[in-house]
Amino acid sequence: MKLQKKISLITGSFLTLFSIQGFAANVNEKLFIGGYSSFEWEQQIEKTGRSDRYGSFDADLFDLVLAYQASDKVRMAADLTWEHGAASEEGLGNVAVEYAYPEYAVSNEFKIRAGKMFTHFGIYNEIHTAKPAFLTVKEPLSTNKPDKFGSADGIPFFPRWQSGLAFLGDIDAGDNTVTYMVQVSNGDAAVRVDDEFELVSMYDKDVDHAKAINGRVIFTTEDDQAFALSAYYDNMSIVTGEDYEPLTDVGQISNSIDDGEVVGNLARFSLSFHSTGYIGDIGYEVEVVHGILDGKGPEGNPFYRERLGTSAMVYYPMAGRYTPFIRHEFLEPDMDADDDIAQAVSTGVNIRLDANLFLKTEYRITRAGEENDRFSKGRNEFSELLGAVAFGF
Amino acid sequence: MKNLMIIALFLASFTWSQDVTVLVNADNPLTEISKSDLKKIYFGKKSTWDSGEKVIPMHLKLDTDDGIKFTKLLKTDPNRFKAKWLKIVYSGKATPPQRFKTSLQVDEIIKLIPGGIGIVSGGYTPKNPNVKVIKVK
Repeated sequence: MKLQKKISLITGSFLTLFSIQGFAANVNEKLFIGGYSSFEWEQQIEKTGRSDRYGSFDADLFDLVLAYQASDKVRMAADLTWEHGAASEEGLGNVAVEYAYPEYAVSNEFKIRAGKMFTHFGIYNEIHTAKPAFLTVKEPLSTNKPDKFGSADGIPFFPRWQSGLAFLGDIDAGDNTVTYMVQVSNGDAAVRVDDEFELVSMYDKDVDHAKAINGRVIFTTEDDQAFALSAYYDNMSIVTGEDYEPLTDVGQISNSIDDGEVVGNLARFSLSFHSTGYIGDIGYEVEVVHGILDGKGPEGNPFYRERLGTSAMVYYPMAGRYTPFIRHEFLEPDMDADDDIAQAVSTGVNIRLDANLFLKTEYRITRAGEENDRFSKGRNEFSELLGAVAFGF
Repeated sequence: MKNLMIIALFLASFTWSQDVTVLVNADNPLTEISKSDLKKIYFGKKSTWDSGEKVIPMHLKLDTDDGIKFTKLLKTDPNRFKAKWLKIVYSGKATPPQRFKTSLQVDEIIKLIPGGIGIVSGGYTPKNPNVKVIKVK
């Protein structure tokens, strides 16, 4: 068997010679290189609103996806991104590690990861940058970016990324599969500057003993219909940071927190149900997220807020190339407040031009109550045209 | 009438078994595999054999009759298969199966890889003694 394993290493060159890749390259049987890019455009139609009045182009992102199978049990996975035409000399854009972790597979049913990862929550978070992997130009804001859809507290239901450990696996349930994932991480901290505070993701340190924990269980039927529950809990410390200047200097964030003082706490608990699949030839995605924020501010003032976000989409693939879709988004940013609901309807067509090159065209209408934090003051009813070219390899 | 139904069922199963052939390395103790296990393997949900060996799945090009038969076996179609794999790959869960032009190419690779499995043209007979056909149950 050992000899065969050695021989199997040599077969990497055969794979390179013979195999045909749909959207990625296996350099050999151990090393995989893939990636994607996205270019976007959006144009607000009315004079007022919260979209782009000038019809801007956005060199949205270029990502490299790498995987290295070191042995039968050990794998390394990474995604490196360059966003918005990153140019360090001009201080523009963003360069980031989306995820990078080694994974040890004890069995199909139990694997362990350690490193920076996407938070496994809901339908979109793990693919939110991978624009070729979904139909619309943008992910649903109501469930993934409530802070961009009128959530006054500016706190999403869950952090995009986490630094920590994950335990996951796929368990047979007859012809169906149960896929689970449990993540333990530092979570976020809330840094207070004057009367405002900003969330800081703690990828390299923590400011308290409380760890964030989240989990997701997906039941997938033989017909590829998925039903899932996700949960996220984090008891964030509120830290003062006298020298802290938001998003200006990464080193300064850490130093500021080191020197800071814990002045309160904010617990974040979010629960989601989602389902995806096909009914006949019609595809669907449905997600409902309920979130609670509960804590005490620096002056001992209690803080409590409940939020609800939903999204629902149906689509109909035609001729293996054209996929028209319609999606509805709903966000209740504060269930105790009136007239703050935001809703949006997006409809469009995703066209697969060739291989994994996609053209996305979309018309989106947003309507929000007068008290909505983001869309208030006469900017709460507008529509926009969106387009994107996304390529996966 | 009953006999006719039995013959029809036999012919139907014969026709189906001719749609695809499943190849594995001769060292693999499997003699048959279920459709649901194939689906789990080809969607990245079963990545190791019971022996602990890494599963290395392969199939033929999707834009061919054989590719369509392959995806039909998995209860999907080539476009849904590709769309599903875009999500799997970019989320970092697994790497996609290798695609080949001919059954012989799959045969040539599987003879060298103990954990290899390939879905190739119906009725294909392996050319290498280190490769065997297993039944789909």
